[in-house]
Amino acid sequence: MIRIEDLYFTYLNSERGIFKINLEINRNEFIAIIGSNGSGKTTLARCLNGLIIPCKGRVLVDGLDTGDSQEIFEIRRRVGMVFQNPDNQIVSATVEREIAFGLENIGIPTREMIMRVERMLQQFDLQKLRKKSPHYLSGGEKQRLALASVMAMEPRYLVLDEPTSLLDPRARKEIMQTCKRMSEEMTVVLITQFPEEALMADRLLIMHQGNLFADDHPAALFSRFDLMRKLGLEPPMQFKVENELHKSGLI
Amino acid sequence: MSLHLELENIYYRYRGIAASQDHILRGISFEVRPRECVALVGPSGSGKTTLIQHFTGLLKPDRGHIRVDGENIWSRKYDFVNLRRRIGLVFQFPEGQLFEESVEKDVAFAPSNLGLAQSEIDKRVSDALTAVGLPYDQFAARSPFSLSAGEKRRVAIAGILAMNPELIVFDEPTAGMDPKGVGRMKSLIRQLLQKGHTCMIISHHMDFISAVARRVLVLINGKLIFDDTVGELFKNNTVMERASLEQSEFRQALLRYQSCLPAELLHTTHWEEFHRKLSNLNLRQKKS
Ligand SMILES: Nc1ncnc2c1ncn2[C@@H]1O[C@H](COP(=O)(O)OP(=O)(O)OP(=O)(O)O)[C@@H](O)[C@H]1O
Ligand SMILES: Nc1ncnc2c1ncn2[C@@H]1O[C@H](COP(=O)(O)OP(=O)(O)O)[C@@H](O)[C@H]1O
Ligand SMILES: [Mg+2]
Ligand SMILES: [Mg+2]
Repeated sequence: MIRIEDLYFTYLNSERGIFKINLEINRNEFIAIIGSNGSGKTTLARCLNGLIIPCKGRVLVDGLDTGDSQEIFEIRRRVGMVFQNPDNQIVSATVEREIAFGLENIGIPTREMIMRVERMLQQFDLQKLRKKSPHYLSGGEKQRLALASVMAMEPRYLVLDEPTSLLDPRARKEIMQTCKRMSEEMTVVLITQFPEEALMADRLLIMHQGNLFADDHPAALFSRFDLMRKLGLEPPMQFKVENELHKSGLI
Repeated sequence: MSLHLELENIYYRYRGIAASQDHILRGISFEVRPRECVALVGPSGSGKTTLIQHFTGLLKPDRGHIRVDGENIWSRKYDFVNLRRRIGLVFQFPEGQLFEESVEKDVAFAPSNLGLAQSEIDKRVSDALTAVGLPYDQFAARSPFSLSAGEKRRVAIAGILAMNPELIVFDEPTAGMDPKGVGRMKSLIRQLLQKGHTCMIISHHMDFISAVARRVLVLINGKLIFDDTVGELFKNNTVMERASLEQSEFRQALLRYQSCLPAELLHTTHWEEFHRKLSNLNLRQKKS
């Protein structure tokens, strides 16, 4: 479980950040986070694996405090994170080395490593690009690589910051199905601007101006049209169309 | 403003350390006429970003010609500086485009190089920031590197708007943008078209494309396989399938209620149109 207690974080020389967050993320839960640009989604995600340390309050990953520098290696191993801009996480000279890199770091034996790399290359349709330098991939290819590298490590908690924003519709659907499947054996925290993706989660969090504004079942929150409008958010198209047709007495 | 862009039989292959074995672009021809809004779609890796870099001479084709207003841009002594003022590219990773210490300086960069009066530069910067939904007083002084991802993308777009190019090419402009931002992008593009600009939009966001563009080009594996309206594309299952596309979220939602919809609603292509027609329908029914 990840437990966030009275978390308060502001960036250096700035009053922006996230405020007074209390949250429990359970094992094998599939959580989606939505919110407008600048509402604090990425900031919250960065707190989950100790990339940034609370100014006040604490974040406990299976009881390990992210503020404790002794624990940070173990925390990062348990909480895998896919960043919003894949360029920020790519370090290796080829696609296959990139997937292997994280596995080497956590000491996965060579045979197991090779197996996992092959599996990921296949799952994310990267076989043809395996020898290619990650820096020369297209945007969507980079995003698939970033996902493959993190998923290869089989973390307990998988934090995905808009992992599909540059993918074509088919790839996006496939990745979402993978997330859903993964959430049976690991916790998935998905930040997204696509309401249709958020609808697939078990639980939906809404960030608003640095605060955790709502925490409920996705369908329950998306049905509250007034709330959505007030926050500048959109329910899934299916909800919108149904609502209009219903109001007009057509269904 | 009447920029006319023409591509004829373009072939391109990356060279150097990341050389590609095959051609990334294979025999691409099309033209973009003044005041058009054209969408460019296709699976990731199909060559969209590579293609648009040819428009301003950032990449040179191995074969084929690019003509702007009838003139080959690879002819001797062609004025690339002027070309890059007339065609603005908003790249898919905004980070690559931001480099100044403040948002204001970043957006002012292009207009400052145009030799404009300071008052005109100031006006363009504040207009551009307003257009993308970043209030001047809140954002002008901030460092672009301390912004959230969606905010960075908006600054990158504002920077190109401030240059006021005739043709603006947006590479995935709505990626990571919140719903309000997407709505603002729609009205921005409509305004640009009204003012006589030409737009090209690369996007995987079918709802967005159907709302702003009529014509759509589909690229797969470096080949142009479709050039027609968005409506025709959605009807063409073969192309949709080959290009890894899906119907827009709107069309998917609408088709669930196929059996209870009057024809005028069933054939709407995007949410705004549907909403408008439904309101009209309701009004008419109230009257009768
Ligand atoms: N390094 C930084 N220094 C200062 N302020 C920052 C920094 N990074 C983000 N911020 C600010 O903190 C707030 C929250 O940013 P965050 O990146 O968490 O937003 P977000 O919800 O992920 O937005 P987006 O949807 O655009 O990705 C924003 O107001 C942003 O401008
Ligand atoms: N700078 C580069 N060097 C070598 N290959 C590249 C480079 N940029 C892109 N590619 C490759 O060219 C193909 C097309 O990429 P790109 O034009 O970015 O696709 P799209 O924009 O349609 O997603 C991809 O297979 C990608 O890996
Ligand atoms: Mg973010
Ligand atoms: Mg691209």
